[in-house]
Parts: sequence; structure tokens; C-alpha cells
Amino acid sequence: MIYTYYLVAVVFIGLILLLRSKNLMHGAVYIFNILQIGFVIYLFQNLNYNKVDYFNYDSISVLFACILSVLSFISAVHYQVYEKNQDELLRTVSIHNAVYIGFNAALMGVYLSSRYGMLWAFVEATTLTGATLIYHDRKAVVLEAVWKYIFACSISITLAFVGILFLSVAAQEIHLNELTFTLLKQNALLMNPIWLKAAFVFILVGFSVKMGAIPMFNVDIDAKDVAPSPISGLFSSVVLNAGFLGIYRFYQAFSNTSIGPWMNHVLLIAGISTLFFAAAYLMRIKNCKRMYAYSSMEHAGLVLIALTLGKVGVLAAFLHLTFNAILKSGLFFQVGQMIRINGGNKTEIRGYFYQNPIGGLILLFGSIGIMAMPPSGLFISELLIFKELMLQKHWIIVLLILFALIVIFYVLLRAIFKMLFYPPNPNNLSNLKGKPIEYVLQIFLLGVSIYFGIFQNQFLFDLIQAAIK
Amino acid sequence: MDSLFILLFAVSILYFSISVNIKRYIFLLGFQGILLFLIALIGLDELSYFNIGFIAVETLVFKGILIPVYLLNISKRNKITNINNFKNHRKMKGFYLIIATISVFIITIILGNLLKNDFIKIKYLSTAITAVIMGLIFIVINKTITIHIISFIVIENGVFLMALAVGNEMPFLINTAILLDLFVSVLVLGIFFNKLTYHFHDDSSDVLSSLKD
Repeated sequence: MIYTYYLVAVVFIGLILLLRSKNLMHGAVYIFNILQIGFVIYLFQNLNYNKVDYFNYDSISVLFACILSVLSFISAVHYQVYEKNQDELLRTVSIHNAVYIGFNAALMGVYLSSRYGMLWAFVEATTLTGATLIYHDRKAVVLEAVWKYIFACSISITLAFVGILFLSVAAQEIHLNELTFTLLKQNALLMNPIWLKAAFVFILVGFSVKMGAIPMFNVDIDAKDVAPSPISGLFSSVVLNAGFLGIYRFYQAFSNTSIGPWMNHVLLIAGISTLFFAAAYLMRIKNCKRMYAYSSMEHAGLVLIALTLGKVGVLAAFLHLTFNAILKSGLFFQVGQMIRINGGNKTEIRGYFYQNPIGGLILLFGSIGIMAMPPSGLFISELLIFKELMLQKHWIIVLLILFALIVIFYVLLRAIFKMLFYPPNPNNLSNLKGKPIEYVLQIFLLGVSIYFGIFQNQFLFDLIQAAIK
Repeated sequence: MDSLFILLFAVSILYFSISVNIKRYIFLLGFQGILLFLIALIGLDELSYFNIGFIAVETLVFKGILIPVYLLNISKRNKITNINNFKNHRKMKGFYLIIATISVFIITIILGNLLKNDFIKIKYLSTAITAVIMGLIFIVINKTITIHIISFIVIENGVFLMALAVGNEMPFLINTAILLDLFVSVLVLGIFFNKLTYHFHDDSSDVLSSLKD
């Protein structure tokens, strides 16, 4: 089935490149997205099926694939609105939509890969396709961001490959010829910890560029800033998940070995640094897209910290990733509409609530959601993180995280109130208004997050618990 | 015989440190590509004709010919040949770079010997790590975008050599991935590099500073 999925993706890419009507191109993307949702349903029905070479349908893969399929559909709807308002050339839309399908296929590959070599190759493919999607508006500033993104990603991914090579040395020492996640986990205790430590450092640094965490976070922020908002939404959610998976697959295999505590220390340092860097950068932020991009960085930091807290922490990490993906992508989609209504301005937005009350409310509740206030689903995950930190008596870490979160909370709240409730800037106003379809989709995403925040969905919990067993 | 090629590869990294001429840089890249082919041919056991063909395409054709020719064309088209430009945009003198290269090489040899096992070729690994680290240093100390691309290819060459160092057989998939990486990075970087010079009329990375908080 997975090979059929890729065949369908190739056919749709070819079809879109041949079509000469924007509506037909968008139609093709929608059909692909519907087929992709169908494929995810098939994955759910065949959970833990591992008889396909190079691919594995475990709970983590299927959870992330599910998030991808839903958000990709919504992003496609927003892109259609975006390109109509920009009055894009047929060629631009054609390239975007074709690459968009390739981007989806690459991400699906990252999630479903059963071995490190494959995962790495698909992450590389997300760089190529992602860079093309960012380079949509063809401006000098976009070119600068794309250049930095490709360059930093290429170097980071190369470093991740060095990590995989070190891992292969450790595997060869015990005569393991394949780097499948299952085999690595089964033979973890036999491997040389020195090589494993070296491999982990390189893999963490390498995949941090996709996760938007320390040390390679800068280019990710720039990319989210200049990309069309429907793409920024995906970068803050499904790409972040892909980067996390690159790190987690290693952590999952070796967390019960002698290097487990050492990995926890490294992740804790990386997580806290990411959180503090996000707080520091947010303090001087003016651009609303960069603000939400740094908020994603904050959540990436929290996820890294959560990983170090045992099984409850890992559960919290997955919940956090899920809710961050739902809320943050919805916010980016809404921000796209807000920027459009404000004449393309990203830094001096005022009084959005008066211009567009429904959009303003979505932005307000979405922003409250990403600050982990109840009834947002992120509240549950952050509560679990703090509870576990306190149970394990990590008081200094609790204080450090609380301090960073209070700063972030204050800065975000101040900026959001300015955007929503200050008198509008008459110079930035345009006559463009949002369409109902744009609100409905954000309301749906917001509703999903609130639903999971209030009612603990057993299916989601079971899925994640199966993943961390 | 492979020791000679490894030595030549290490010397080529040293030569990168003192050179300030774009043509020489590109020549060195081509030279490294040919050396990698010879090292792979000697170093890998049980090579099938298919593997030899694949490695030949990857090293000789891509690294040895296509990429250098492509970079040369780009630099000519964008008139990036001024030696003074490269000198002015480098933050470290050639002498210190040579010292750094030799130091990195010595440290990696010592580290390699400490971690010695039957599955690693220490000579290969030390040279490969030196290439990766020096590639990163070249990127940090140079402000010219052209040198950034060339340094990136040096890193890629180092990683290829590392793959040879840690395994007697390179799985087809990983090999394809390396080729994809190289192809994507260099060609895409090349395309965007062309656009950059068209927009900014400068090869210095100083022009890339408009994205700020």
C-alpha cells in the first residue's frame, strides 16, 4: 500500500505539472489529500504492521501521519485563498502544488521509515521540497531566507548522517547489518556506548534544524517568517514533528542502556536552552509571524525536557506535539488572513478584533491555547511535565522553566492584546475580508484542541501509550 | 596504495587553507572527487560491477567533473574571480589555517587510535573528520557565498570518506541518499546562488542580513 501511495503521489505531481487551470490544480491537490486521509485510515487498520521493507506502521508513525493528513488538507484550502488574493501566475501555482504533494510524500516517508538511512533520506527530501515552498513570493528577503534554510539544513542533515555512520560502527561491532529501529532496540544493550554517545550528539544537532530547537533554530524561524502562512503552519507542526522523530527514534532505542541518563542530561540542557533562547528572542519581537515561530521553539524546548522524564514525560511530549501541531498551524493560518487584511504588514498590526471579530476571537483563543491555559490540550501536557518534574524533585529545573514560561506568557499576551485591541492603524488597512471557509477550519482545529483538553480521549492516550511501551 | 590517495586527500585540505583563487578551489574539488573514486575502488571489498558503476558516477562524474564545471560556470557568469575579494572576506590568515588543519588532523588520529576497532579504517576516518571540521571552519571564517558552497562540498567529501571508513560495503540506499544529498544541495544551492548574485550583485554574505527580529 505504501508503494501505491508513492505511485499516486508521482502521478499527481505529473498531472499538476501538465494542467493549465488553477482550479484543476487545486482540485488535484484536494483529491490527493483525500486519498492521503484514506491511506491514514488504512494505516490505522493495519497498526504495527511491519512486513513492508523499509517501512513500519507503528503508533507514533500513524499518529504523526494522521496529523499530517488533516493539516495538509486545511493548508491546501488556505493556499487556494492565499494565491487568489495574490493573483499568482499559473506557473507559480503549478510548481507550488506539485512540490506540495512531494513535501507531503517526503514527510510521510519520515514518519513511516523503519530504518535510519531511509528516515535521513526523506528528511533531506523535505529540505528540498520545503525550500521550494518557502520560495513562493520570489522576493529578495525570501531568497535570503531560502538560501540560509537550504544551506543550514544541508549542513545539519549532513551532520545527522555522520551520527548515523557512528551508529553503524556500533552496529557493525555486534555484527548488525541493518539500522532498523526494531533491531537497534533489541540489541541496544550490546552496543559500544562511546559510539552511541557520539552518534546521539550528531543526530541531535542534525535534526534540531527541523525541530527548531537549539542549536540550529535560526533558519527555521526565518523560513516560517517569509513563507506563505499556510506553509508556515506546516513548518510549525508537521516538520517539527519530523525533526522530533529523528531524535526520538534514537532515544527510544537506547534510553534503557547505560547512556540513557547521559542522553537525558543532554536533552535537558538542549531543552532548557531552547526555552530560554525562545524567551530572550521573544522579548524584542515585533513581527507577528516570528512571534509564533518562537512560540513553536518554546514548545520544542518543552518537548525535549519532557522526554527526559520517563514514560509519563514521553506521553506528555507526544500530547504536547499533537496539540502544538493543531493549535499552532491554526494560528498561522489565521495570521495569514490577518496580515492580508492589514495590507501585508507583519509588524504594525493593531485592532484586528475590530476589523474582524471572528478572526480576532480565533486568534485570542488560539493564543491562549498555545500559552497552555485551560481548556487547551497543551494545559494537560504541561501539567504532566510539571507534575513529573516535581515528583522527581527537579526543583531548580521547575523554577527555571517557570521563569522562562512567565516571560513568554507576558510577552505573548502583551503582543496579542496590541494586535487585537489597540486602535487600528489606518495606513495598513485594506478592503480585503476573510472568507467563512477560513474561519470554519480554524474553529475546527481550536475545537479539537479544547475537546481533548476537556475530555481525555482514550483512543489518543492508548495510541501514544502503545508508542512508548 | 590507498595510503597515498588518503595522503593526497589530506594535502588537498591543507591546500584549501592557503589558496585564495576560485579556480584553484574548484580544481581541488575535482581532484578530491577523483581521489575518492580511487580510494573507494581500492578500499571497498567485494565490489560488483553495479557498485563500481554507481560509485564511478557519484565520484568521478559528479564530484570530479560535473560539480566543478558547474561551479566554474557560475563563478564566470557572476564574475567571481577576484582574489583580493576572497582575501578581504576571510577572517583568518592562511598560516593559522594550516596550523588549525594540522592540529585537527593530529587530534583526530589520536582519537581514532583510542577508539580503534576491526571495523574502522583509522586513516580514512581521521582524514574524513578533518575534512568535515575544516569544511565547517572554512564556512565560519569566510564571508563569500562561493566559498560557502565549496566548503560544503568539502564537508560532503569528508562524509563520503567517512562512509568508506566505517563500512566495507556501502548499502545502495545510503549511496543513493548521498548522491541525492549532493545533487540537491549543490544544484539547488547553485540555482539560488545565481538568483542571489542577480538580486544583490555581491558575493559577500554581508548582503544577507535583512532578516531580523
